[in-house]
Amino acid sequence: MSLSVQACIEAKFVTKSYGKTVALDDVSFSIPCGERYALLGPNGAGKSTTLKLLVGLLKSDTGTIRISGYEPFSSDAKSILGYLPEDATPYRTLSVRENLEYIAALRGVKDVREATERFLDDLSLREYERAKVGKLSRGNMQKLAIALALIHKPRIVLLDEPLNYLDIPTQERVFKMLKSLDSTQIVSTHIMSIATRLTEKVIMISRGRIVWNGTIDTLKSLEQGEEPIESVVARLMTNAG
Amino acid sequence: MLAKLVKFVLLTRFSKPLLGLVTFFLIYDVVIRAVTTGGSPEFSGGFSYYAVGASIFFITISLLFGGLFILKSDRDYLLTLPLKRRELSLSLFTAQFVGSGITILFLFGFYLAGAGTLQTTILLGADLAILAAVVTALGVISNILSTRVRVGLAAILGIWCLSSIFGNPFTPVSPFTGDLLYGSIVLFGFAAITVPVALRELAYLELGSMRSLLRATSSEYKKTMSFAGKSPVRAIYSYHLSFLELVGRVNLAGSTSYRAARVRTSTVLIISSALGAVYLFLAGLSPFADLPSRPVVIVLPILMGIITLVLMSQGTFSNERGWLAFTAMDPAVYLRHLLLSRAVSTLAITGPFAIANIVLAFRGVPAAVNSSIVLLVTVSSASILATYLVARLGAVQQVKEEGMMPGQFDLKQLLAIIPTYIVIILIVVSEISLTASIVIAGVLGTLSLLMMLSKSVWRGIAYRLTQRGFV
Repeated sequence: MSLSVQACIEAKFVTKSYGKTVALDDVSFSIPCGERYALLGPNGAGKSTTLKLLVGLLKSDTGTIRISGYEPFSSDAKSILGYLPEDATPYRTLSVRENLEYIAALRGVKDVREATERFLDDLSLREYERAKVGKLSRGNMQKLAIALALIHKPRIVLLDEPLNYLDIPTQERVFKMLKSLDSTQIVSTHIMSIATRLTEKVIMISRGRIVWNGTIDTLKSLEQGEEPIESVVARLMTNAG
Repeated sequence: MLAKLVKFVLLTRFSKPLLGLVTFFLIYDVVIRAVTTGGSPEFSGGFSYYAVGASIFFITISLLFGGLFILKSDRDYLLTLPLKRRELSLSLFTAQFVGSGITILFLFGFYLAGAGTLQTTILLGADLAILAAVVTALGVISNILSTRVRVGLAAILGIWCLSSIFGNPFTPVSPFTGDLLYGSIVLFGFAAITVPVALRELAYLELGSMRSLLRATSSEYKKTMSFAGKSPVRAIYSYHLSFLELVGRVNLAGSTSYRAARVRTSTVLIISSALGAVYLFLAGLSPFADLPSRPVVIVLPILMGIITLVLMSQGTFSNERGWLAFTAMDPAVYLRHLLLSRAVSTLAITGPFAIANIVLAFRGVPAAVNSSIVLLVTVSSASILATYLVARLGAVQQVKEEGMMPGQFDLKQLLAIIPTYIVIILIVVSEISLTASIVIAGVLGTLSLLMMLSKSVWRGIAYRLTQRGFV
């Protein structure tokens, strides 16, 4: 059986509440290996909670989640997952290089030095390698965070607003980097141009429920006249609400 | 306008229930307890050691970890408003006072009833208020000092105040050891320097401290660590045994600030070894050593215990990054080794004093045996338990911005201080009896060991932290 039809990420009837607030309500979806999905939804829809559940940082109240067949909090799942939260901050008391080496070591990367050097060059962090992370600009901190999420060459990558704070040249470099990865990806974003450039498919969440699931092409086909894709997305989200 | 501004500043920093409890404590401690306690405790003897020890703690900690009760929104909005600088400064100082200095009044207030004559009571009451203002001011001033200067000043002030126990009347805490006149004059002089400096800093915060936060320390490390070739567990120990991170959460309502600072463990060890040697000389070799009771032997473990608990408990988690650590390996394994490595690294502070106490024990100071046990076992074990409790209570905030309050402080965070007081009581009991010392160390050691072995406990903590917004 080819890998492309095997589900790398699978969520079945997942519910998650914070006290009385229901963040996710009976959510189910399946992402085949190698595919790239955008996770869209208004603020507070449950996108970040979904990613945290997939990466094993949170436990669902009901339902099951599998990452390549493993429980998300298992060591097997952790070794193949790469996760970047929104507004990620690395360890502020470590330098850029120390952060890269520390996380590479924690993840059991075989050649820590090589992985560190590669990301220092690929994301133009070389000149800041000895800099305290607490003193970095927000953009450089984001570049480092991206490197930390990818340093162990994860097969499944979950990114929450990965291009926040980045200047345009760096955005382009990150686009290329993410496109070149041989991995299954979920990119949570509010910016449709990012979704259309990085992914082929969309899962749309609103108020903790999946309201639309399909390809970007199908989404574009829903455009009415000169209507931009953002308006289509807004319409789908509003109608769902 | 000033009253409105003070109210606004207070309510944006502290929740109403927290302010209510603070007010209740203040009234209870200073007024009701003092008036209703028959045969009030004397403002001398044992109180002196307690007051001096606690004062040194608050003075040094304010200098080392201090910080501003400033929110991110202050930087973006409040400080940009056309407010009178004097009013802004006084409002912010009031918030600082409520958050840090006021603790002094809680700790010593009710002793005023036993101060003696009305004249003495008034003077000591004024001294307590001035000391509280000094502690508040030092917390502000620490922001404009480099780490090295802060550590140096804290050490000098600590030793200066400690000398009051050995009879020096010219220290800011000498009023508590009976030298009311000279002590009060020195304390007033000290306040006359520190408080105006702090007020000025607060008045021009956007020009002063805020900017100095960016330039006070270099932006590059001269010496860096390497984790290449290390296993995951070795990497954790390598990180936390190499450096002590200064993540303060030390005042009444918790941390006032966060600074991305680290101090090499070897540097800490050298400083504490030097201080341990001074301690050994004063308590065991100097002319004062022949005193029948050596109060410093009893005060020291309490002070050390508090410092270690502060470094360990909230500090452990406020700089943690779940998205990196908990996704790289099992949170239970990570947190177990993190706690153990931090507990071992704090021995760099307590270890030399423990060794000094062992030497004192051999020289015939019985209390030193208890102190060694406390410093080596009780404090380390208690700090692991306190770290768990604080996280379990949800009383720890992840700090993402430098130099700012992580958010509004609430009642829960204040109540998280209770484990610290329980440990202090256990330390005091340990000081009284060797048997109690061994039993307490044994029980706490076993409990912390069992807790470290439980994977479900730490996985639960990781989920809890994430649920509370830790990233």
